[in-house]
Amino acid sequence: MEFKLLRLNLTEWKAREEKIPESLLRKYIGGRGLGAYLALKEIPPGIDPFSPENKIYILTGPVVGTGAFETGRYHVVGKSPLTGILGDANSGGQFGPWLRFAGYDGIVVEGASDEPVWVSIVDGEVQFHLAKHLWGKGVVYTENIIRKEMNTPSEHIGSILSIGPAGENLSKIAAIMNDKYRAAGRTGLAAVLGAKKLKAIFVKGSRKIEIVDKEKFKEESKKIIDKITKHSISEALSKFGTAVLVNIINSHGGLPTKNWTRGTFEKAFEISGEYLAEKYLISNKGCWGCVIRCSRVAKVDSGPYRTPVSEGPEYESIWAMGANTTIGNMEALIKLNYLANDLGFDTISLGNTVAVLMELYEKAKNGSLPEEKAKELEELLGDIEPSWGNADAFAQLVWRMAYRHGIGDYAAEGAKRLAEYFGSPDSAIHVRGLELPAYDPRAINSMALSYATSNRGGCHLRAYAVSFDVLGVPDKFDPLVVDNKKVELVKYQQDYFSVIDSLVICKFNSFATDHTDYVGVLNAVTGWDMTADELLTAGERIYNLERLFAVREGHGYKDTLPKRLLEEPLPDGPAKGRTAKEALEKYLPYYYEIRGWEDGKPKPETLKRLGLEEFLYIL
Amino acid sequence: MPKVKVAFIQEFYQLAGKHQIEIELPGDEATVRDVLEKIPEAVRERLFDEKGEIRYPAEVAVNGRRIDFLDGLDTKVKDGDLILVSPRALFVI
Ligand code: SF4
Repeated sequence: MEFKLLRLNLTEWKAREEKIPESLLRKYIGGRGLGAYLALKEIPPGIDPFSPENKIYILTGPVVGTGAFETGRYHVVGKSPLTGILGDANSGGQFGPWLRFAGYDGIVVEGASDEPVWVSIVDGEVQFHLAKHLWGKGVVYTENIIRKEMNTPSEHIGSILSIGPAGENLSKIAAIMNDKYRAAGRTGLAAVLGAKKLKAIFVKGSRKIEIVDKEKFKEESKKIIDKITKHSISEALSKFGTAVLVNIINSHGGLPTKNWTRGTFEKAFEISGEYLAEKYLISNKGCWGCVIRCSRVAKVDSGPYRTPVSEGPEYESIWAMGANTTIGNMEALIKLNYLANDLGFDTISLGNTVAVLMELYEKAKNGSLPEEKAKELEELLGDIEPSWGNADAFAQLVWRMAYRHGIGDYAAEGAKRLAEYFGSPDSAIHVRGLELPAYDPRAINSMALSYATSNRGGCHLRAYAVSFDVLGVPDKFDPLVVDNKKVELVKYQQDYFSVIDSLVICKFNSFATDHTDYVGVLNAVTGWDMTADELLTAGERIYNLERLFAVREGHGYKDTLPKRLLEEPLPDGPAKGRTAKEALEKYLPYYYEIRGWEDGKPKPETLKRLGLEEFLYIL
Repeated sequence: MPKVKVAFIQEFYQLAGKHQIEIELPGDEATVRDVLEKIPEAVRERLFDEKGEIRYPAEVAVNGRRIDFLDGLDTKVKDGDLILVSPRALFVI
C-alpha cells in the first residue's frame, strides 16, 4: 500500500513529497496513529507550540475516500497550545476524501511563513498564494473567495480547510474548519496554523484510491453496512441529529448546567434535537459518502438571532453554549453556533470558557473574587454584562475573543487560563487543560475514568462510556454503580477508537460494530493479512504512544478530574448527592493493572510487548 | 393526588405528540406498569410487545435509572418522579 505525504515548508514556501514505508503503516495504520508516531519523532521536546518547530499533521487513513461507509473524515495532530501535550482533532465533511483525490494521503505543515499564505493542491500540483486579503476574514467568506479564485463554484467539487480570526489571533481554543461548518475542533490546533500564518488549503483532483482486492472489499463493507442498518433504530440520527441526546442525558441528571454546578437543566426540551427538528430544521446533510447523514441544516428567519442557512448545531455545541451557560433559547444557540464556526472556535471549549466568565462575573459581584481581580474584570468587561443565560453578551464575547479585544483577550486563552488569571482556578472544568464535554461523570460514572485517562485531555471521544452507561451498547450498565467490567470496556474503547481514528472513519459506526468488523476491509484495501487481534493491538500501541508524548513533556500524564467533580456533590437530579471521587478511586488501580501502567506511565515491559522499544528512552 | 411526569424521546415524542405529560397516580402504591397504562395508545403499541413486556430496543427509566436495574415494570413510583420512554439512541455522540 502506498501512503504519500506532502511536506509543506512554509518558511521557504516549498513542498516536497515523501512516501511512508508500509512497515510503519502496519504498526500505526494512518490518521491519528501515524500522526502520533511522526509527532513524537519529529517535534522536539519542550518546544513552544507556537514556534516554527511545531508541526501540524493533516492525515487521512487507508479507507478514507473508498466510499465503503462513513469514510469521509480526516484527522489533525500536533503539539497543542492549549494542553502543552499532543493534541489532535477529527473532522468530517469532504476534505479527507478530496485531499486523497488531489494526490496525497496526508499533509505535514512545517516552519512558519512571514506573510499570510494559502495553498492549493490540484492533482498533485502545489501552489502557494498570498493570503493578505483573507487574513481577518471569517471562514464562510474565505471559502467563497477561494472558490472564486480557483474557479470551482460547486461545493460538491474540491474542498477547503481554513482557520478563522480565532486561529489567526492565536486563541488557544480555535478550531480548524473545513467545508464552512465542519470543525476539527479540539485542542486549539488552529492557533498553530495561525502562528504559521497558514490561512487555508484548497484540494481537488481525480486520483483513484487504490483498493487491492475489490471483490473482498465489496463483501466486507457490505457486512458492515448491513450491521449498521440492522442495528440502527428509527433513523434517530438522521431524524433528530446528535442533539437527540439532550433530553436523555438530562433525564439521567448528567447534563452539566451552569458551569457544572447542576446536573439538570429546566429548559432542556427547548434546546433538544426534537425541538430543533420541529422548529428550525431545513434538511439533514452528510459527510462525503455517508448514509447516516446526521448533520443538521438549520436557519432562523428573523429577529435578533436571524441566521442564514447553515449547518449545526450539534449536541455538544448546544450543551456547551446552552445548558452550561443556562441559555435556553434555540434561536440564540443556532446563531452562536454560526458565529463560533465562522470565527473558528471549538464550541465545547468556547461554551465552557464563557460559562467560567459568567461564574467569575457572579463571584465578582458577590465579593468572592480577590478585590483587585474583581476590579480588573469590571474594567475589562467594559459594556458587556455576562450574567447567566445572557445570549447577547455571549455573542459579543465571541467577537471580542476572536479579535482579542478587552476581556476577549483573556477569554481567548481558554477556561483554565482565564479562571487562573482571575484567582478562581477551580471554576475551570478541564482535564489536562482541555475543557470537558457534555456528560457529568458524577451521574455517568464510567465517564470519570474515561475523562481522567483521556490522552488529549477532557474528551468524550477517547472512550465513549455513555454508550454502555446510558445507551446500553454493547451491554447495559447502571451509570451509578461502580463495576470493574466497565473499566475493561473503557480500555477496550480507547484502543478500538484509536483504530477507528487511524483508519479514519466515523465513530458513529462504532456502536454497531467492533474491531473485528474492520480488519477485513483494511486487508482488502491494503492487501495485508492482519488479524483482528493485531489491529486492536495497534490501537493499544497508539494509545501508549500518545501517553509517551505527555511523559516526554514532563506533564500531562497524571490522571485526575477537576476538584468540583471530585468534591462537590450534584445538588439535583437522579445523581443528587454524588461526586465522581469514589468511582475514579476504585477504577484507576484496575485500569493501570490492565494497561500495564504505573502512575499514569507505561511500564517498560508494556512498551516492549507493543513493539515500542525505540521509545524506552522516554521512561 | 400524587403525580409523575412521563417524557418521550425521538419517535415516542412524535407518537405522543408531546415531549412531556403529567399523570396522576392511582394511589401511593403505583408502579411503572400503572403509569404506562395511561400514556397515549400510539406509544403503548410501539412500546409493548404481545406479552406486555417492553419491546427491544426501547428503554424505560425512572429518574434516570433504567428499570432493568430496578424492579422492571413493577418498580414503584412516587410523587414527582420522572419516567423516560426512549428508544436506545444509537450512533450518537
Ligand atoms: S454519521 Fe454524521 S458525522 Fe459520521 S460520517 Fe455520517 S454525517 Fe458525518
